[in-house]
Amino acid sequence: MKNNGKISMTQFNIILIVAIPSTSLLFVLSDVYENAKQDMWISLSLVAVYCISFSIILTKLAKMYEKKNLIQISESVLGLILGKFIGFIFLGFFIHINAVLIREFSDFLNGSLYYETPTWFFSLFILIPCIYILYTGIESIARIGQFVIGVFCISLLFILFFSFFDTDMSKLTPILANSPMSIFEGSLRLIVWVGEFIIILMFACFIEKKEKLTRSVIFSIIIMALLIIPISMCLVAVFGSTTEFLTYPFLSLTQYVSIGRNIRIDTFILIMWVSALFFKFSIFFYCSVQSAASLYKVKMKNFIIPIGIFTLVLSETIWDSGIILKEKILTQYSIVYTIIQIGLPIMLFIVAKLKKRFFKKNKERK
Amino acid sequence: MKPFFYNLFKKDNNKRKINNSNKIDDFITKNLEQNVVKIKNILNSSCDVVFRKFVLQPFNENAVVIYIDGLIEPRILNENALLQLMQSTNPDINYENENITDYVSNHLLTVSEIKKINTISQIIDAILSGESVLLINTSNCAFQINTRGWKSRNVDEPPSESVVRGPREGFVESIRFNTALLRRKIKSPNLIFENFTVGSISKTDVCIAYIKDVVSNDLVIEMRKKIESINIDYILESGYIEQLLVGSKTTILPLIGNTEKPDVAAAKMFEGRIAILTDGTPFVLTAPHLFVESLQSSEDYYNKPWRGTIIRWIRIIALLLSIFLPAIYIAALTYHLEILPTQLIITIAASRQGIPFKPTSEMLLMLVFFEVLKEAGIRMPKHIGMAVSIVGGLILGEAAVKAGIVSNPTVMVTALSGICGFIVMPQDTLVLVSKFALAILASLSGLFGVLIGSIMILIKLTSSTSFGVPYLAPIAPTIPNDLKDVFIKYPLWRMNYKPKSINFSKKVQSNNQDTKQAGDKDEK
Repeated sequence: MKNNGKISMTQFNIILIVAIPSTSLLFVLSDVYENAKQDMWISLSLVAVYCISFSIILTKLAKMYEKKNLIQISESVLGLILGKFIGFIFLGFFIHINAVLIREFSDFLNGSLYYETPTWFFSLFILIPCIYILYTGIESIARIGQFVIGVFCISLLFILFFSFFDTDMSKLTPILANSPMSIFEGSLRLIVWVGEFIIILMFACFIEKKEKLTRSVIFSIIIMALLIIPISMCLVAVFGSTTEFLTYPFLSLTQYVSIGRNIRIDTFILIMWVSALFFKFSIFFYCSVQSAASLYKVKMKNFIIPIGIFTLVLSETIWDSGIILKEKILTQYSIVYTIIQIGLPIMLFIVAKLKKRFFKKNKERK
Repeated sequence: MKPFFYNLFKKDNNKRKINNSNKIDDFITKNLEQNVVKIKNILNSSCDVVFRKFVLQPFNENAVVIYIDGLIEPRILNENALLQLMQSTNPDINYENENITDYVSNHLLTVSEIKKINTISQIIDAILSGESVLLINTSNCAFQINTRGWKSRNVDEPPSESVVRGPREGFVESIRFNTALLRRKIKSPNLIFENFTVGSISKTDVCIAYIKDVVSNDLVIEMRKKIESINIDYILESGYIEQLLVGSKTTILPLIGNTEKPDVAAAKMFEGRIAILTDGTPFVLTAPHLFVESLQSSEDYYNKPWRGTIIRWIRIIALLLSIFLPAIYIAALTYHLEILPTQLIITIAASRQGIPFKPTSEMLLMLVFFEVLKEAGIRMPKHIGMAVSIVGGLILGEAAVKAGIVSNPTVMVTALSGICGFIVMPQDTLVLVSKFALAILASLSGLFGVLIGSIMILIKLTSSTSFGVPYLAPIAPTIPNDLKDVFIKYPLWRMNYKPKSINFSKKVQSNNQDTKQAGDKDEK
């Protein structure tokens, strides 16, 4: 049992399960409701199908280049210059998504619990443990994940259980009353979430035994779906058509629920979100630092604090308010993100496949 | 100003070393007077060094016995050495054929352990470590006679680890006695003691003990290398070695364990750990040391597993309460009143009526007060300590509440968190530091600050390693086999194995069938 810079498959699954659905659970569900209405859960299952198909491509790409991360893969697929160019795009994307995550997080705290504290305070204080954990290395991140998933899942189930008494299942009917198109549109709202699976390519190179990579990624997507779909059904069953107008629907759910008559659990959501978002942020932070390190071929430690401070400044300066940020995520950013997160890896995959086939034929001819 | 600040923060490597000169490598000459003068010069004619001059029979040669008064057992020296040397008139043995030194060692000295030495420095080492040295005129070698025997404390129950069930003997200050105590627990030829001398002035005996084939070879090699590389002038307690072995890292976690009980040390060695015995202290170090060990106690194994499981959970809850309770109290009263039930808020508000301080300053005041009381209780002689706890705890606390300086709930929270801290003693540094840090963070930003603080503590825990083993080993990274001894204590018949988290060498795991069985027998 010695530290060797590797993580186990279970730890990899945990990274996916905690890091990917946490923000979408908090922010995007009401927008899905806007389109899909009471059939939200069907939209979400559609999203799970997208995720599975996209992640199969990613895992195949990861298996082709076993010891390389996203940046190194793009370099070896597209050649040095074009590969570096694509690598810089990914680096910019990771830094930008970091800034988005930090801002979302601090806006959430500022808007829901601490009304008078400025957002930079939360951004700074979430950044400090992230910088610390990056200095300690990948194994430590994976081990922290084991604790965070416990907190995350237990509090989700806890809230689900207690909100069950306030549900009215008739609000979920009629099923498929709206056109199938609206369900599809609703699922497109979560396309950014699908694209976040790109972190598979950044972390797959650390896994110790990756024979069953595809299977375990599909398994973790199913677990995510099993966490999110009941929550979305519960939301609709409690709030009905009001869901559309809630900024943080999940927070509203916990505020609505109470244990017995006089214990309120809405503060406990803080425990869940701070830990989950800390983890998500440190994962994406790790991705950005690692991609910078492999672009410049230097040690990761040189980039941790500069990128951290840069992200902090970005998150405070780009957007005037959280509402503008949310609007941009749903319109401009979702298009750009989709191209970078989904388009580029698929392109890489196709080029890699073609290259392999071409070279094989060449070899056969010789 | 620059040199001042530079010196302030510069790493001072000379601090641990005073001088390393005084190398004496002269050989013994045949002239007795010359040798004695040399030794007297080196020992600076200290008053506790005794030079006993006499005439060696039957050679009629001058001889000297040198020893330090108080370190030797005079009876051995008198009856088995001096008596024989001065009155030897055994007519049967023809001494003229034999060399004088051979004759003395073969026929005269009736002591079990003697050794011939040639240099002055060996003589000095022998004298200072409590042996007597015999120097004879016309002979260029000396005898080192083992007459060690100083007064030592009796074996009794260690005050820091008292048990209801289990052996009551504890280690003492003498290293030989401690090795004997371990040998009595582990009667196997595989139990190995390796001796080291640490400290360039104090020359303290340090001994590592392990069971061959159970322990991983890499660990032993690493431990040897680390102990040999210790560069310090003096060792007074095993705590010195603990800090130097962990390295220069400033950690608040106990990365090396300590125990005062031979049965605990033996159990750790059966699990593949190394024990480090230091002369002059009853505290034996064990390494590698993991977090779960601070939740375990020897009594968990001597009693039925049900009890062990429940007590272990109580320890976990106590650890969490002692760290988090003051912080959560501050956060709840300052920022998150809504997490408390309405009835409780009313009660707390009623008892805080007329208190001049805010919850934060009140709580910090009480925490400092508690630490002062605790420290006074430990340092005072036992009888005064009782008085301190009665006057400090009962009378002062009561009076402070009645005078309206602090409120009742604050006193209760402080006391509860303090008492819970006593349950998990090995982690007391972590508890003390994080209790204050979290309380301050809670006053800054409520539950958010507490969470950030606890994440930092968790990162510290997960990223630390003790001799290469992750500190939270069976929990994260998860090792399913080893979890049998963490949250749920499995019965003994389900646990006949060594923890995998300790043995990180693959070679060793395969070839230890014999020792494993021996270990099992001993455990039962």
